[in-house]
Amino acid sequence: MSYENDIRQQASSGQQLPGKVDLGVLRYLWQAGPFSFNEQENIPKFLARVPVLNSFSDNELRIFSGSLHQRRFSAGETVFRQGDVGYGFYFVFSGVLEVIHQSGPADARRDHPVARLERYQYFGEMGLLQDYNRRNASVVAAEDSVLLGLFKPDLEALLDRHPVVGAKFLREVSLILANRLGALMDTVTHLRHRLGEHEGPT
Amino acid sequence: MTENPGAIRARGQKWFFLASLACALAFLAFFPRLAFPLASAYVVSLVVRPFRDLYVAASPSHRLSSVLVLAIAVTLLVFPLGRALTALPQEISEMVRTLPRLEWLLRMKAAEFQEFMWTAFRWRLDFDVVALLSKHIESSANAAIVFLPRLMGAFLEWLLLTPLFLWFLLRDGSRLRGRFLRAMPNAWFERGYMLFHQFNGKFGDYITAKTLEASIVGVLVGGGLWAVGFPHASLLGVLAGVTNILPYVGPVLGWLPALLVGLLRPQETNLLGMNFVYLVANLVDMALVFPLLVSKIVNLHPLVVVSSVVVGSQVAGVGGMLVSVPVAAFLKLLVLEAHRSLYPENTP
Repeated sequence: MSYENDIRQQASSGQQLPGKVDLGVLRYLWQAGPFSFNEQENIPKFLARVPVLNSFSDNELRIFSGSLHQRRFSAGETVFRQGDVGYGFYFVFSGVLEVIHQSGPADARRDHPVARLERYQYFGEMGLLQDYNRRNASVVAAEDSVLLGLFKPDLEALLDRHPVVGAKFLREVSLILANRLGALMDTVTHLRHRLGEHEGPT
Repeated sequence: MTENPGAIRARGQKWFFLASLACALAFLAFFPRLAFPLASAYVVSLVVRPFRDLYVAASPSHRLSSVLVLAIAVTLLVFPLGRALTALPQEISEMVRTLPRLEWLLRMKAAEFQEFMWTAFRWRLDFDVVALLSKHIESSANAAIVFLPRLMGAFLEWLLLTPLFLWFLLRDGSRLRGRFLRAMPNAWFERGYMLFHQFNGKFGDYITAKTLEASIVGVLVGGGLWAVGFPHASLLGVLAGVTNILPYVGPVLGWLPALLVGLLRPQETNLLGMNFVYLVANLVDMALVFPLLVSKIVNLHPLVVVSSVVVGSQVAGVGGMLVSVPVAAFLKLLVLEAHRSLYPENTP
């Protein structure tokens, strides 16, 4: 819902409207809009370009941004380790991160880099949905990085105070999971097919 | 082998955060006159914040809603205190008038007990229990009188500072919380944030539920005693409400003063009616108020609840008793979190 519609709805439902202009709102909408010529990327511009959030209006992104935590990581710093209990979902605002899966016996663990995450990408969505979610892999900053994190308490508060924005975000997270599940099923089917070929007709 | 700069920075963040936290706690421990109103304001802010948020949702002015909620909270805090302070001298003078009767009752019961010990066991108890008790009460009263001006000063200071701190916590609480969370090291952030959120939620819910429970019991007892014509009904109602904060033993402690008054004035009081009032109030509490309000918030074994209250009273008196149960619930959360980290295979 746009800011204008939001205000219109408040007025029609008899709620008291703000007596003066909210400069914070104005600044956010200006920074997100096409007339902001500031080359330096800010959070409003960043969120507007994240593909997974492209169904959100600027006003919804403004509300959503209020729940995000900006965290800075130095090169080599671990965001989380494989097996940690996770409560958060992250967007990569800047920098590069490496996803590392560890396998093998406990005394001879081997690191397998599985992916590199760059600007506009995201990770950790299972942490928002599952109780006591264990991280499937470690994430380490490959260079100095800034992440925008959303955590379980923030999602609960968002659903409580702005149910439309919260539900929209949950729908996007469901889509991410559905896509990942689809990709996983394709891989399993492909591997099964390869295994069948390898074993030959019985 | 050289350590990577990211790991060095992460370690630095941890030490800096721990040192800052230790300094802040040490500062508060050295200045209890500041720590006590701050803690009280924090507890009250947890209780009133949900109401403030409800009002904010309907009103665009954050400041106006904070002022309104603060005014209501201060009225609710100061009005009963003012009432109690004005009613207290009269109640105390009436209690003092009954003291000779209490002394007479105690002397009579002590003589009966000594007689019983002599006839049953041929054991003579020569000491005068009432004299010993009087001496102890006299010395305690003298100490209290010397201490009273300081106590009153501290109380007035607390009464002034608590609303002031509450106002700033309501107005700037989110900003302060944000700064605290930003300072938290990356390595601890996710878990720390979750525990911080759970602690605040449990603590606020528990204090709200207990305040509501104590008020309901206090009103039921006070109103019931007034209806059966029992003396000191309002004072006994307040006592029943306050002692109700203590789980399990609180209702008995709240009933004892009424029993004492009843025994001292058997001709003027309706003992049966008084007992019925306490029974009904505690049944309503046990059957309705506690299961609906409190038990869902604190999922602790009764033994842990009683032990935590005893430890809380020993460490910090009445305040310790009040916060002991949510603190125990938080410690349980911490232990479970540590268990999950150390034994991942046992976690569902």
